[in-house]
Amino acid sequence: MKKIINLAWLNILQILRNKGELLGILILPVLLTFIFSVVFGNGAEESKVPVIFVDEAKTEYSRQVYEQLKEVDSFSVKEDTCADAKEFLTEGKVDAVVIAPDDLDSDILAGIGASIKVLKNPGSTRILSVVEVVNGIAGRMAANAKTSQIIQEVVGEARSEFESNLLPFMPGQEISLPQVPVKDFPEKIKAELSKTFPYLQADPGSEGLYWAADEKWEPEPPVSVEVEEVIPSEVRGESVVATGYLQFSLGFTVMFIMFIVLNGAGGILDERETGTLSRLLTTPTPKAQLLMGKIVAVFLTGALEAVILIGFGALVFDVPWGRNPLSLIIIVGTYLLAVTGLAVFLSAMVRTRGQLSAIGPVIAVALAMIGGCFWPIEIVSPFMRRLADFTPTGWAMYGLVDIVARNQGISEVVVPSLVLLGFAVLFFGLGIKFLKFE
Amino acid sequence: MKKLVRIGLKDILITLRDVPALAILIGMPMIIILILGSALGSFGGDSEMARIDVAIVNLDEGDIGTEIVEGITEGEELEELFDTRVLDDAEDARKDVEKGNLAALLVIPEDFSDKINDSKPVKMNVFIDPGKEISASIFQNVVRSVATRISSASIAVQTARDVLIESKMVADEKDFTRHMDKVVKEITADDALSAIGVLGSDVEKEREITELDFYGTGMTIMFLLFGSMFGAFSLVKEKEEKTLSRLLITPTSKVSIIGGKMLGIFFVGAVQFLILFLFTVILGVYWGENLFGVFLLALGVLLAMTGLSVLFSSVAKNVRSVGAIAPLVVIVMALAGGSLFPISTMPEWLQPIRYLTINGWALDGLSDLMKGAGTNSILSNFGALIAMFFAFFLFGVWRLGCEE
Repeated sequence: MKKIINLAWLNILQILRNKGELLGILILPVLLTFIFSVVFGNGAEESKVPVIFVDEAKTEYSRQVYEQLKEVDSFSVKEDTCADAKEFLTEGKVDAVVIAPDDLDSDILAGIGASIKVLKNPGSTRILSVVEVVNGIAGRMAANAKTSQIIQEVVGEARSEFESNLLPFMPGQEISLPQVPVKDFPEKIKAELSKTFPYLQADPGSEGLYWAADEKWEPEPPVSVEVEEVIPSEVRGESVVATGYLQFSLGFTVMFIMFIVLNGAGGILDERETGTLSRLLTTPTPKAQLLMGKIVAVFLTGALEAVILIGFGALVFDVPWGRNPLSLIIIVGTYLLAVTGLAVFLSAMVRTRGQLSAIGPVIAVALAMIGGCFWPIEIVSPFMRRLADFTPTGWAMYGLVDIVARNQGISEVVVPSLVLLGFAVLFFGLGIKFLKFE
Repeated sequence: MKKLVRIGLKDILITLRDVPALAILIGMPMIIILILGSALGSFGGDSEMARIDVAIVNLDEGDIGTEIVEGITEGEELEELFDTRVLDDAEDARKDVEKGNLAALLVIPEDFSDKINDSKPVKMNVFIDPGKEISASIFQNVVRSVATRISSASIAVQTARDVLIESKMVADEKDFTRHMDKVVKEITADDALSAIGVLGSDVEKEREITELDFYGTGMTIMFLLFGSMFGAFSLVKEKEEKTLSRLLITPTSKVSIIGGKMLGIFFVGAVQFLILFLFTVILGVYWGENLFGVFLLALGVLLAMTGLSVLFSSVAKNVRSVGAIAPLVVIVMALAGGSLFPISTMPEWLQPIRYLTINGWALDGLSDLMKGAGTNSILSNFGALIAMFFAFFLFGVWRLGCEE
């Protein structure tokens, strides 16, 4: 046992002495955590979704679109010309351009279809919220227009009923009118009656009706939707709840741990390549212990990496890592085991260290993609989801999303960590079976 | 010059015989782009999303709640999208959301219909799983549009009441109810709210850049850069195995040796690019109409990559160091340059860091080309890539010179 530890220590020193690897293990993760926390972390709140509004119609209605866009707290809305807006979009400086085209004018009151255009930055992950907001605005405007239209009709019906009725009702007056329909009244009397009945001769202005309806959406619409993220009752209100782009920061952490471990695994092949292995084997150290020492070193390097990535993020940048450190340790620990196993397995599959260095990052990227580190697993097809069940990255993500995003306790990590252990056993088994150590 | 070409050819042959290297340079990116394609579902027919698990708890004692439930559970389109369960206990259902079994839950409150009929504001509650933000937001959107519909109806009724009473042609509240049915019927008609549509960007006749385009091009550039690692391997190996000093004893100049190696690296990269380009085109990745521009940018990337390999081999003492440094540099460039996620997700002040990377300049230019830009507008990108090539190359040669 002592020998294994000594060997592991020796190997870690070897890794750390290599400037390139040291850079990769220490500096890079810190840099990345910094970028993540700025890009995706709590600092991201400041970065509002940049939206450009283009007013081609220049009507009251197009202004209404602009005013309501501005009211959305999470957007920063600027007005600009169409050409400029498209350029910003092309350069990726804005997420969306909302255009109020020429047809957004009083025609909408007549029920003639109009449209609001949304040009999307295809790379934007926040485009959905813009579309949702614009849909809401369009819905409100359409409802106002439709309301105005309906009321015109209803008033028309009420008028014809009123006109053909024998006895119009005159509130507050005891005058008995002749028993004839209102429509047969002399024009003069009709004009007089119009003073009391505002819509007897003229329709209420459709524009006025539009704004009368519009007023009723404020301060809050008749039916609104309140959305609440569900976090476990016992931690409600006290713990930091992960927001927004959590997916990315979890995903990239998972990917980078694998990346570093696969890279560090090159050490397993080193001695074989340089021929020092045969020398070592002449010493009274069994082969198994030599191998164990190397594997432990790879594992510990990965653990160091994980501690740096998670710790630095948590302490310096307030990246939320869930409420239960133990469950985090269990998931990350078993994931490290699985990945170390994978490293041993890959070492057995390749011939030289160079090949391993080359294949490592590629495998890491591929597994990260399938496992859902780059985008949420929920958006992919059922087949791809099934595929994720066969990757350690996938299970690490399940576990991490449970404990970080959902703030779950230790009971939720049992299944993922057991599966990860299963991966570890499988990979170690295959790796040690095929590893040609001499 | 002849020697240079010979050394280049020899290196190309070595790489072509190295099956694992080929697998990584060409096979892996193909696999990854294939994965991307099926994950993001832009080819191979419609690979639809799995149905989203949601639930509704209707506590409303009136009719409107029931109508909402029916609307969501019985609509054909919605049925394809959601696997909706109707539950009784809001607390239990909430626990299911908490555990991640449900992406979202809609709770319609007890006094929902009453309040609407009294024209009082009322809220529907949606509980979402923070672990399934996208699925949850889809459901959220559906509920919001339901809310807008009911709001519209309520507002139409309120406004109609106000106006008719003002007109005095309707005697009183009771008299108004005769008209109300018509108002409600019309405002809740299927196409009532279609007066103003929202059009996506497709009407602009510009081809939208899909996620597949984005990742297809991004990954291709990233994997081209991995070529620099293999180049550095081959250079460093000669150093490590002391074959370099042997070569230098022969009447071969250092320039021929390094030049030959670079030629080999460049050529392998060019083959890799051509294969990946064709492959991605077959998969439906759109590179724009301006093929000359695409190849010009690719040339820039390949040159910069070649320069990078000289730089790697100058700073790394042995194959092991190259193996440690090169992939990290490539991945960091991919991250900062927009190969792995779109630049626009970064805060604005951080976005310029992409101009420190090969990926940044290349992808910038490629996205211009996809949007129909001419060759002129990418010349600056090409220039920047060439400048990178010279910077890497000269620094590398200088460092290599120091070692001798």
